[in-house]
Order: sequence, then C-alpha cells, then structure tokens
Amino acid sequence: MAIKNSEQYFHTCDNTELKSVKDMLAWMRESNDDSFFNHINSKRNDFAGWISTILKDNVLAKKIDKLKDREEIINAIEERIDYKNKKKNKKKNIISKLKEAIMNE
Amino acid sequence: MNSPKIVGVVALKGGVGKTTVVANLGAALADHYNKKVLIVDANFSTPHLGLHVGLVNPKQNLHPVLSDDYSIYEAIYQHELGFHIIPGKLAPTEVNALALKEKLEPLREIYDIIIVDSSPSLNNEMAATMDASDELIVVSSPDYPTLSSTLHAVNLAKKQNTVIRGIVLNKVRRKKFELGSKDIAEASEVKVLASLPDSLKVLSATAKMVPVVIHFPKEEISHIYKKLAGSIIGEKYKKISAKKSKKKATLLKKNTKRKD
Ligand SMILES: Nc1ncnc2c1ncn2[C@@H]1O[C@H](COP(=O)(O)OP(=O)(O)OP(=O)(O)O)[C@@H](O)[C@H]1O
Ligand SMILES: [Mg+2]
Repeated sequence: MAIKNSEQYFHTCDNTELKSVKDMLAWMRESNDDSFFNHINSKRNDFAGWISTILKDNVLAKKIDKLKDREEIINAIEERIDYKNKKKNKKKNIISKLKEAIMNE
Repeated sequence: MNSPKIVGVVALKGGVGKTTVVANLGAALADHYNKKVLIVDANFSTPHLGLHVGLVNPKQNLHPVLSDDYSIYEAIYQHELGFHIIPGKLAPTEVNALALKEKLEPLREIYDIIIVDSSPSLNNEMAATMDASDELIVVSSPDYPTLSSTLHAVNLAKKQNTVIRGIVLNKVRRKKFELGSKDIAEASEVKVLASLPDSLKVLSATAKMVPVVIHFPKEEISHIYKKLAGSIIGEKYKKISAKKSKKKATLLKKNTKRKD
C-alpha cells in the first residue's frame, strides 16, 4: 500500500520519492551503486528504519537491517512481498469458498 | 432509507452480541433520542435480554402471550431508562414462536421503534423474528466462523424476502489477523453499519446489568452505539457535553443500585 502523507515519503539521495515497498524495490533494482550504498553501508541502513517506522513492517525491517549485499536485500524484499500476497490471496480464497458453499444453497 | 418500525437483531451464532446490541440500541434510542422504544426478547429458548437491563425474574413475559394466556400489553415493562421491554421466561416452555408477528402488529402504533432480540438457532424462533421484522440487523464479528454464520443469515433473510439494513461488526480488536469490515461487506454484499470494539467496559456494564451506553456514556463504544441508533431512525448523533452525561450516569447508577 502506498503512503498518503507526503512527509513520510522516503527521499533518496538521487532525488527519487518512494511511497511504498514496491517503489523501494524498483529503486533498489535501478539505482546506481553510489546511490544505493549511500543509504545502506556499514554505518547505516536508512531503509530498515523507514520500513519499520513508516511502513510498520518490523519483520522486513529486521531482515534488511542485517544485510549489506544488494542482491540479498532485493531478494528479501521480493520474498516478503510474495509472502504478503499469498496471505492476501489465501484470505480471498477462503472467503470465496465460504460464499460459494453458503450463498448458493 | 426510511426508518423501520420493527427491527430484528439476528445472528446464526451464539454469543456474538445480539442481546447486548438490542439492550444498547434500546437504551440509546430512549435516553439519547427520546424515542418511544420497545425491546422484545424473542430468543425463546435462552431469553436473557432482561438480565442485560436489570430485570431478573419478570412475572409477566412473552411466553404465555404467544399461547394466548394473556395479552401482550400485560407483558410490557416500563424500564426506568425510558424504554419498554417485553422479557422472556427464564425457565422457558414450548412456545408458538410464529405467533410473534401477529402479537407485535398492534404495538406498531404505540412505539416509534420496536427492536427484537432473537435466537441463534436455525429454527422457528429465528424464523419468527425474521417474519415479524421490517428490517434486520445482522450481528457479526471479524473471524471466519462468524462470517460463515453471517453469510448463512444473510442468505436466509434474502430467501424470506426480509430487508437487511446492515451488519453490525462486534468485538473488533483491530488486529491484523482479523477480517476487516471491507472483507465482510464484500463477502456478504451487505453494508457494515458499525464496528464496535471488543471492550472490557461492555463486560463490566453487563455485570452491572446496565447497558454500556448508560453505564459508560463517554466510552468510544457508547458513541458508536449512539451513532448507530441515530442512523436507524434517520437522526444525526450529537454528543452531549461530558459534564451532563456524567451527571446522568451517576444518577442512573444510584437508581439501579437502589432497586437491587
Ligand atoms: N463489544 C463487546 N466487547 C466485549 N464483550 C462483549 C461485547 N459485546 C458483547 N459482549 C459480551 O459477549 C457476551 C455475549 O453477548 P450477548 O449475550 O449479547 O450475545 P448473544 O449473541 O445475544 O448470545 P446468545 O446467542 O447466547 O443469545 C456477553 O458477556 C457480553 O457482555
Ligand atoms: Mg442473546
């Protein structure tokens, strides 16, 4: 889900505004090494903080905070998005099964 | 939507909060909106509406009315909170549930609104409430088993051509794992009228046999109840000043104590 409050956007050093995990993932795939490692290096991990405080996903934040390798970080985010989508679909599936079983009776 | 005269509060699941909703809507409509309200216990097997409003062992009740042993007017209690109530018989006997509609009909003229509490079982008792009501409110909670019962109730109402006003989602904890009101509205194709939080204050009020809207008028849940009550009769909810409502609550607590 995209953030509505513009004060909470993530502003990257190459002037990109990130409003969601999807935006973040896209930027991580496309940005150059200088920009990327400006935000994630041995001293800091700006994304982990943003993911935790603004996106409120502590699971992903903790995971990212431990990683330094760009590919690994991207994989971790992709996995998390996948997991969340599956969860959402599972809910949809259960609801539609319930509906089918009951409402057509 | 026009305001209905007889509103049935239903759910095909026990313990979701039907009786609590009936008691609180009754109290809110009488106390906050000054309406002539009657609440009726049509849960014939486990009639507990009286116990939610301090009426422990009512002499007159709905059961013998349905078997024509006495008139419905004799079973009406005037409650000190402003509403009227027809309680059920605590040790219930077999009843002719389907006579409910006919018995309630003459009361339409007397009251602004009549709210009927119902049984969670899929039997004549539930059918009687659906049959007697102009509109239904389905009480649900944000989990799959209750959603399943809600879909069932909605389906049943549709088959009986009873209008469903909407769903009241009760015992909401606002947890991520819960179903949201959007999920429930989409699944049932019925509007969610209100989301009532799961609240210890309700349990505390129930223990005192006073509806939470009266016992804790400033609680979030009480405001939601009053807003919901207003929406049913087409009136906008205006909060009364905290000072006034506190005074009222103290007065009522005193009154209920004196009666015990
Ligand atoms: N919003 C709420 N938060 C916490 N507890 C609640 C809430 N609403 C109701 N309860 C509690 O849940 C219990 C069951 O409520 P209630 O008796 O109204 O359910 P019911 O649907 O009428 O049950 P039955 O099907 O047995 O008639 C009661 O103890 C009541 O106090
Ligand atoms: Mg009940």
